[in-house]
Amino acid sequence: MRGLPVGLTRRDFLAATAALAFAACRPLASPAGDTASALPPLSGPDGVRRPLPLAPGTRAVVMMTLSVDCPISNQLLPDYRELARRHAAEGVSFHELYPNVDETDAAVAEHRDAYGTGAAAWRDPEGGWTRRFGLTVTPQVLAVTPDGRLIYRGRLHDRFEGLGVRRPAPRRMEFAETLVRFLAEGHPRAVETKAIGCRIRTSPRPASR
Amino acid sequence: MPRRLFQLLTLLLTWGFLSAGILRSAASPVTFHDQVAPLIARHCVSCHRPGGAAPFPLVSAEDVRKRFREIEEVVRAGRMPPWLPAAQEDRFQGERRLSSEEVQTLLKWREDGWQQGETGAVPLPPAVPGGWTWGTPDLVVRMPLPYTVPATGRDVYRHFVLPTGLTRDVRIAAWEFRAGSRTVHHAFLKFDRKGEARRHDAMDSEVGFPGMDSPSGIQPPNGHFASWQPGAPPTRNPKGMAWLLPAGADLVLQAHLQPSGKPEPLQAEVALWFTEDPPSRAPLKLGLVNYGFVIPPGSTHVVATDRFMVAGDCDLLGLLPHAHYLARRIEATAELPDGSRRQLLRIPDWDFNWQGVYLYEKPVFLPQGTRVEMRVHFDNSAANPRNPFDPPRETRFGLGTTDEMAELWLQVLPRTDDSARRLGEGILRQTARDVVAYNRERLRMDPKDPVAYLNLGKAFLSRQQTTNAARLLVRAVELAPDSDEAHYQLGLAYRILNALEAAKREFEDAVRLHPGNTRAWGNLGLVELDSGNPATAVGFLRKALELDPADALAHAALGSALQQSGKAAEAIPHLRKAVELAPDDAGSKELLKVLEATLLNRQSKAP
Repeated sequence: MRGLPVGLTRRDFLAATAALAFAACRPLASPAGDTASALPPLSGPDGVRRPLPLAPGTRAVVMMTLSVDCPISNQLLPDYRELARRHAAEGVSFHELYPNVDETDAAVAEHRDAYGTGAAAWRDPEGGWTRRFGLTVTPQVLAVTPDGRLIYRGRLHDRFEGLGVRRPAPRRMEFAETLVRFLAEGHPRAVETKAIGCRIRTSPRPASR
Repeated sequence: MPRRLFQLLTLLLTWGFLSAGILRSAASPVTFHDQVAPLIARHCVSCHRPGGAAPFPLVSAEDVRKRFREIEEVVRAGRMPPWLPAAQEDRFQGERRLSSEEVQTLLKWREDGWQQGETGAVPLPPAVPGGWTWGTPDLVVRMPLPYTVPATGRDVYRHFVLPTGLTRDVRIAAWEFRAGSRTVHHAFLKFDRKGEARRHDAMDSEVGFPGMDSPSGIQPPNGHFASWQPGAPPTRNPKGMAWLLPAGADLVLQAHLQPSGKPEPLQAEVALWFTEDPPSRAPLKLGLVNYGFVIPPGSTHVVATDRFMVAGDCDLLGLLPHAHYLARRIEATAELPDGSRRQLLRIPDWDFNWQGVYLYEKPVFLPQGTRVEMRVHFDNSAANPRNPFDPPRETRFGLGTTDEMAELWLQVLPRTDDSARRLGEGILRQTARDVVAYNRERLRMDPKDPVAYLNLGKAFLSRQQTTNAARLLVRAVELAPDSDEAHYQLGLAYRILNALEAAKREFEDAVRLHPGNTRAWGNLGLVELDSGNPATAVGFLRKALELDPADALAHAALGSALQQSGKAAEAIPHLRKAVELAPDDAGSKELLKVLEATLLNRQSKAP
């Protein structure tokens, strides 16, 4: 076939063209100092609701839901923080989200005193993130692109098989694998797994400010 | 009114009143105060209370309501309250199981709209003055240094040494464990008389030493289980069944610890209450163990079994099953002499995390001739959520966390002294068989394991197969030339085979390696006696008694050596002590009688 580099088939050529077209169409990574306007605002440690600040070149926003007294999210928190430490330099913005409506700023502060501070902590009293992204339990990992496309929603890994059913050690690191693949490929595949944990307690309907 | 009509009206009215009552009862809503709080108090608050072992309290209606979906999931699945045995005719003490009616009551509380009823929280267990259940303990022992449970990772299985500082033997009527940390998932209390735990501790840079199972010298109290689980009440031994804690022994805590997400200091305490009452009942423990199973990867049908013939009438007081992660079902049955079968225990979904001791509400009588059988079913498939390997791997017996075990321990109380003797002999036979099987399995895993050779040698010595024993012990010494115990046991074998020079060399090596090896000093004395050197023997035997003044055999041998050395007057106190310590020692009794008569005769002839 004339016009094509040696070794490339017509199918390869079409696939490459499609990939380039896709890359050109998808939103660019957020510019320096920008915030993720496509994502709902959250409450910071001072109780003030604000958009999520994102560093320049952010490729993915990752949240893990936590509760101050959920033993499962407490147990998995160090694993999440270790993952955050490993991937922080790769354009992934890690956060910790306290979605339970009945957990106060003071309770969250006390929890962070006890368990240490990892990534930035947020509360979601209005349930903006919880509802929009269908979060149901703590711990649950959510990874989205800065423009809100789903990369992953589910468990951090499979240490817990059910409430009260715990493996000696995790066998599958589903989230880490998905993140690595996303960083390599550059496009989200919306992977979902079942998260095991404590039910998120939301207000019956969105509160107005 | 005709009589029939009157009867019909009466019937209708009665039915009307009754059905109204039934309907009113069915319609009356479940309230937290009247139905839910008592249920939670019965089954949950021993752990789920402020400061309790569970990670969150379930005390108020709001506590229960906000976690209701989790509660529903775990009670429907039977995972909470944590109780492994299935319901059976012979009930266990402290069964923690929600009945289906209780589950329905909980669910109806939600259906009825979470009604509070009267205000009030779940009644908590009464506070204990001073914090200990039975008042001021006679002794509280504490981990000397705190251990830091890591924030994350695999569960930690660790032993901690708690020195008692006891200078006399004491009998333990009751004990209570205070974890002081929610990381403790379960614990066994054991003791160690020979410093083995301290040696292991010294080899490990952190506080305590690791192990899912204990080294052989660290044992639970004779004839007793000593186990703790979150929420379990503290243990008081039945009257007349106090267990012995010897002077100088260390308590050893074998703990299963679960990382909580943050580093947690652990410094557990054990309170002990003594009794001066002499023991009137001596329970025994029977072990059913299988060391030879092989579980291929993917297999769901391997069953490890063992049987024990009960050689004397006894009452079964309780059971302790033990296996690791691949076990799914554990069953124990008794086949009685009349051919009938009785279920002793059935655990349909074994969970290592919630293992414990099960004591019967009423002891189960096992007549002589009963055959007790243990069956442990393994699931080495990927579908077993607790399988530590992915993909599954071939698994066999072993002490490591990813190895497997299949054990069932029975605590029995013999009905008569004769039953006790018969049962004791049966246990010894079974133990000797198990020691051989266990150490052969160790040699299969490591053909150069000196401890396995040593244990096999000791087992063959006790079976009086001395030549075989010597062969194995020579190998133990070759593999572990610095083991005083291996040299000592080989010396013993040589002494029995009358190879006295060889025996002497081994005992000399044993005391050179460990100058505190009392038995080796004593045996050097015996070798010298057998070799016709009583004067030399005296020195060695005195050394043995210096180290252990309560060694009856050394007293007897020293009495004999002194008598042969022409020092009859010096021999008498040692022979008297030997007889006092071992009243069945006919030889010492006879020699004492002769020497005392001679002495008396001399004294009477003296001017």
